Amino acid sequence: MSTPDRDILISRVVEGRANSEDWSAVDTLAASDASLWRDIVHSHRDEQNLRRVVNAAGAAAEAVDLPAALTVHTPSSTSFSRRPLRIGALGGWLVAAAIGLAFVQSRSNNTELLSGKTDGSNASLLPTGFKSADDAYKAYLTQGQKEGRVVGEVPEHYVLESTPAADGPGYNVTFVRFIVERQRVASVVRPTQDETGALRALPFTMIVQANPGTAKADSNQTSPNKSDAAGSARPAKKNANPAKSWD
Amino acid sequence: MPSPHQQPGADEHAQAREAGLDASSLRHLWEEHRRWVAAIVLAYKPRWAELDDLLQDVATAFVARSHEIRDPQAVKPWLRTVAINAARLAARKGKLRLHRSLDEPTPQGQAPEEPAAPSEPPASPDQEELSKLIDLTVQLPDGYREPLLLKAVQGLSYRQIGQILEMPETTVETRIARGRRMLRELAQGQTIPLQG
Repeated sequence: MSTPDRDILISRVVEGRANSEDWSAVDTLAASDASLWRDIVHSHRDEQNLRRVVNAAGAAAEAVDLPAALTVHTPSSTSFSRRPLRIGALGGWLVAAAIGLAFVQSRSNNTELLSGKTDGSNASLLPTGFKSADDAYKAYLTQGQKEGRVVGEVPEHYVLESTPAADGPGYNVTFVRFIVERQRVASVVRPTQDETGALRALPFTMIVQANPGTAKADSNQTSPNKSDAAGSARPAKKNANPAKSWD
Repeated sequence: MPSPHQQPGADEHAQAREAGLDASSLRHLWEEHRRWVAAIVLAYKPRWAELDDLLQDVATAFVARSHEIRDPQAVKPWLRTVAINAARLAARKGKLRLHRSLDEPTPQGQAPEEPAAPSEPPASPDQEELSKLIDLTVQLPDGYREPLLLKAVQGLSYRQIGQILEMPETTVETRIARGRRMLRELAQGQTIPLQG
């Protein structure tokens, strides 16, 4: 059996794995290599210190668990209540605007949006000409942007739940997708609370004044004390919960 | 001194296969491997990055990408890759964060500085020695630094290190031995006074 090289011998001694042949080789080598024992001591010290550092890192790792939000749920856990939709986390103004739009949109408008009706007729849920929901969705975004109604899609999606697919690789992910739209509305409201703490919609009137520094002002926005319910109107004063435009 | 020939968790791997890597299997695998994963992260993380944050990133990536695992026997090298990627991504993000804004163009030829390490209380002499050792260890080439740090993980055998690094046990032994020599030489290079 060939003699292990110097580095291997030192390593085995440091780790306590040296057998009788290794120790004989160390004795023989040490007779002609004065630095051997010093190197064994230094490597032993380095090994002890590395173990302290790595064990500390390991202890830190033991405090790290798998993220709860991505933990697999059993099929029976279909409730979303464990992951409440914190739309408010995106900003109070978003909540206010959402409520404001909900109050001014008519039921017939909502029905049209959901059913895809455009002329009052009873149409199927999936408009004709689309092979899939994805196609219909893309067409909605494209057409909506042409009409000036769709501003865009918020790139971040809010994941409510994810479960491994039972019939193959991958995950079934349930998420919320946010679409930014702009609409002309008849009136605007500001969310407020009544004496019982319940959320109420308070109609208010926007008063728009032209900016003196603006070279050209829209005639619909220059008259003082004129109510302008247009979605693009800018309030004259800053307030706590403005019905803000998306610009 | 732990035995160098400990058997891997074969029962746990078989269980994961049968369960199709459900939540329990994922959790078990993570708990089995996270200590040595921390050693890998330590080997690649930027000096200023927080180990806890990177480990959390690895845990998240582990769950998000667990569907990529086809063979439970390949979990170790796969998890090693995830850990290395997390550490390198942190290093890239740290450098990007320091780029000057567009209003303040970077002077020509000036590289962005590394983020400052988080403020820490004054280190004891013992901690300073450990800190210096880590500073020397990060200077080792990847192929020597990794096995050296993995060997320091309590209970990790040469065979298991070989499975993680996808190399034979003999190569692991040689890399560790050479890594120890390089570390000695680096340390001696710092303490040996200059000959005038």
